Amino acid sequence: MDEWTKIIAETTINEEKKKKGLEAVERAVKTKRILPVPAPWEILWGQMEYISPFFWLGEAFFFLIFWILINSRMFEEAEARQILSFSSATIACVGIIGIHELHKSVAYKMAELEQVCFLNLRQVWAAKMVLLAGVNLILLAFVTISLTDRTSYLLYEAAIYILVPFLISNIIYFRLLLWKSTEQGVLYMAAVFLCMLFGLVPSFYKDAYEKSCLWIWSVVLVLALLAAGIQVKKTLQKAAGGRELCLNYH
Amino acid sequence: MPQLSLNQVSMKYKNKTAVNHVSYEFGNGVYGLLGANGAGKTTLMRMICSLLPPVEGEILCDGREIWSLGREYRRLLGYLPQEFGYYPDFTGERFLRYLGQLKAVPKALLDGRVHELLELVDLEEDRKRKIKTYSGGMKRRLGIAQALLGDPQILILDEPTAGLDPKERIRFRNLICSLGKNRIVILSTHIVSDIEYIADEILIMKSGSFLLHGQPEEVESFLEGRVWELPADEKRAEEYSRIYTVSQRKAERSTQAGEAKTTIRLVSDERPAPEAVLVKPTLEDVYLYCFQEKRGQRNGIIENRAL
Repeated sequence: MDEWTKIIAETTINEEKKKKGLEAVERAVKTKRILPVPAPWEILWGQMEYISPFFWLGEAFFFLIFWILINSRMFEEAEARQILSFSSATIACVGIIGIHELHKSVAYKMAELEQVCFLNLRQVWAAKMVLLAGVNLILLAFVTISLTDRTSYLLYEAAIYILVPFLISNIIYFRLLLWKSTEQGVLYMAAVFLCMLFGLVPSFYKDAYEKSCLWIWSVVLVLALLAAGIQVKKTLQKAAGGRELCLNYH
Repeated sequence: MPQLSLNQVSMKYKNKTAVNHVSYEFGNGVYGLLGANGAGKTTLMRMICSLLPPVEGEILCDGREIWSLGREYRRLLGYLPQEFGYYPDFTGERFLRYLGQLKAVPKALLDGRVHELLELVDLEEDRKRKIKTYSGGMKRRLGIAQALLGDPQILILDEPTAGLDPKERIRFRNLICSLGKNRIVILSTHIVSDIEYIADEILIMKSGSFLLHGQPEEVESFLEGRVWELPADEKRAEEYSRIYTVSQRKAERSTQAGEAKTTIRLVSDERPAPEAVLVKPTLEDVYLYCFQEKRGQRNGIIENRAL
């Protein structure tokens, strides 16, 4: 170390060369545009600020519906099957709130503009999906735990019975999202139809929510998870493509 | 400053060719893309903005394919689409802040930039109003402001003056003039007056191809020696309209009551009448000549010339 310290101490700096070197660096830097790249958390936080009040009110509405009914006398006296039918029907509508949020870009003709920004539409939608999914997961957890509390179903059973209608309805909403002719009214009508479907189907089958049929629900859940993943991926791919976003593009 | 190159770029959909093997080099300056509806201007602009991938050819920025550059290319862009969308419940200020965030404008600079642009487009006093309460012209000005948010090096404006009154159009032209000094500005329009005084280069687009391109004087010179003005009564003016490209018919009142004369301006290889006077061609003459649907036997002047 002493030897190195000695060498460093004896080294002289050529001030002229140093000055020229620094000037060259400064010139090179001036030709570059040095711009920040937002971190993932900054993107998420930024998008949170612009999620519409409609979404928050919609989610709050569903929370309230479930909270009121789960604590009502009607739920206390109802059969487990009826409670599950109602919960399935309602949970199938929850996804529409999030899809409405994503659909805004298309409905208000902003998609073309958003697509050419530094953070393009795919990234904006991905960030929004993470946020919306987070809120929906909290709602699903709340409903599942409440069902477990009020009925004789175990946690994993209730989770399966709730997740299946939620996932299948969202797959359909995502499918509709980028259809050029899709008006928001169509999405809402689809939500109502699904609500009725999931509410009614178990009522036709006495054993639908029995343990003997749980394996069917589990298989459907796995398939629904796969299909949901594929649909989300396809939606994000289409959002990056451009053709579906451009107005008057035939 | 970036260089933008189009190499044999094409776009087809179903059985129509929207852009047909277009090649061009863009450097700093203002480029006026002139063409009628359906000429392919918007499709070309969308391809330059990396919204639509070309089915043939490539678009390069500083020698690199724009699709491979991804967000680094989009960072250079400012785009105003022909159909400008907006979130109606956003205020003008909130809308610019939202897009500023998407364009990754640093937070510390965003506030100042938003106010600067709102002042530039004369919307500072209306910044707290919701966009749905704005007039058409105000919305268009807001659209121009958002296109300038990230200090873009490549500015693509598709029919930017739609809905603007004459005073706003003049203001817009002055703004574009100043912007074109150190960036690429490509603006499309079918209104000749929007660009004839500000564009460094004119590109006339028809059926997906560049029919003519060059500096305004060069483009006008294609009709040199072929633009005439002559007086004619109504009946003769109608006859001339059937045979030639007529770019202007100006009615003039006679001092004597009951007499009205028309001066017509037309394009013809030969002197159409003894009293016809040769005049200097304008960009409007060239545009009308290129896009007039019905012409008589004396046509093909431009199509027969090599670019």
